[in-house]
Amino acid sequence: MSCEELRSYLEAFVDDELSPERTLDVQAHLRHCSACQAEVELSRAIARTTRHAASDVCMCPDFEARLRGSLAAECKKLESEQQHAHARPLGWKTIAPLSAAAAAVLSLGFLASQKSALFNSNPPSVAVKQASTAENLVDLLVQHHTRSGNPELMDSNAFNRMEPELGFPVHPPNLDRYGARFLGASMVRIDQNQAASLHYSLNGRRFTLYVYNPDQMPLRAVRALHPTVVGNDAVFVGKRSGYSVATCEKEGIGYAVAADLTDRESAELVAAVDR
Amino acid sequence: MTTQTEKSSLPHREFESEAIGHAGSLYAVALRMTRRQADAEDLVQDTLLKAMRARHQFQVGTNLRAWLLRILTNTFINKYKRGVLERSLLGAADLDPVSEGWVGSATLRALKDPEAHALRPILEEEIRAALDELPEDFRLAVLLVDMQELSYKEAADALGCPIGTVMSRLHRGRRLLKTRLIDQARALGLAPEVPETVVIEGVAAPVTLDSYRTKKASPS
Repeated sequence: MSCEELRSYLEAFVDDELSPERTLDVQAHLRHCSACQAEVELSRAIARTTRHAASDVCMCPDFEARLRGSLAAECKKLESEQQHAHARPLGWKTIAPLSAAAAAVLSLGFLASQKSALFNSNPPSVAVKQASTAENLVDLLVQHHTRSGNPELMDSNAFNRMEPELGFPVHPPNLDRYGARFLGASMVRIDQNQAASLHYSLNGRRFTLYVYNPDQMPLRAVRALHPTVVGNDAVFVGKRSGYSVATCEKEGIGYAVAADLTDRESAELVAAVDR
Repeated sequence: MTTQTEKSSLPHREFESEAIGHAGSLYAVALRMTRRQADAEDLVQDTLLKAMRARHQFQVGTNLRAWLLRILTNTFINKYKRGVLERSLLGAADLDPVSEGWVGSATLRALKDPEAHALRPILEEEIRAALDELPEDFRLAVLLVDMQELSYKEAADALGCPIGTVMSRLHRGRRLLKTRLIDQARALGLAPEVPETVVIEGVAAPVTLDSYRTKKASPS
């Protein structure tokens, strides 16, 4: 490595951002080049001086007291909101039977025996097969979400045209209150099954909402998705390849969100589709 | 209790006490970002309140300080940043070259062992002044990486820009600081005068903060 080359790596070297191989190259050069050594030392010294010069300040004690006060107040407020939320009874009647089962499991605290008793309504062999197919479904959704480009924008009539292909009506949900912008929609084939994919952007991030027949695509059976309750809905949510996937069923129609969002955000969005 | 994110989030009180442990360090950054005590205090308070409300988004086990700095930087950019003109200069100005290798060994010693050196307060004051005068984009990059020791990736996340942009802002910011520091060292008799040839060698004269200000003042 020449001095010139070294200079181009110098900052990244000092910042510990070089690959191990490149670091070794730089170190080898430095062992026999005192001019470059001095440059490295100078860079480190300047960074250290900068760090020290900028950090050498203290908060004014009045401000610190004020800060602690306002954080404690906020803390109290959040705690009471949380308690309030826990105390609110759920409207069980509105939850579909399976959702109710999931929610019941939650409130019983994940007792393993309870869980298997509630979920093993199918013969075990069928359940296993179903689960393994369903795991693939989540991968397929995430793949589709990752790869889908800009969908052709569609008018509202387009949703009517989707109905015969899907076998059920699609009503694009209004997610404006979350700041979500509808980009467009298209039909998608997920492992033999037709589904509608609705594309949105939210603060610069994208999410795709899938509308599908839950009997054909049993996403609720995916083991990687964990049950949770949002409002009165049972939602299954989890991470796959870094994306969060959340699904729920309403009136016999399945909804799934695949998104570059947190699990909680995805869960909220998917639970909000009919509101 | 139920989802992954909720499982991993801390109770409010615990989060509050952990977060407040970083207040001093956040305040120091905020002060260099805003350059005004009152603004820095507001910025720190905004940041910690936002963090409390969004605490479920924080993954336990990851770097809390980096996460708080990200919120702080975001809040600063949204609330205080005016630098449209400063931004427009970034593409145009070629800040090179500060000639390497002509810093006297005394400067290096002064910087390397600041504890032992009587001139340390002067040099640090100079650095603070130079930081305050850096174009905002450069300043933010230098503060996050040099002062707060964030990785390029963490700084890029905080600034909402690609890693390459962080590197170039950092490089330019550091060059301006270095020039300023070397000028100061020279004024203090710590570094030799710049050999004439070194200046002429460059494509342009070394860009100093003064010439930056001149540029800013004149309409482009």
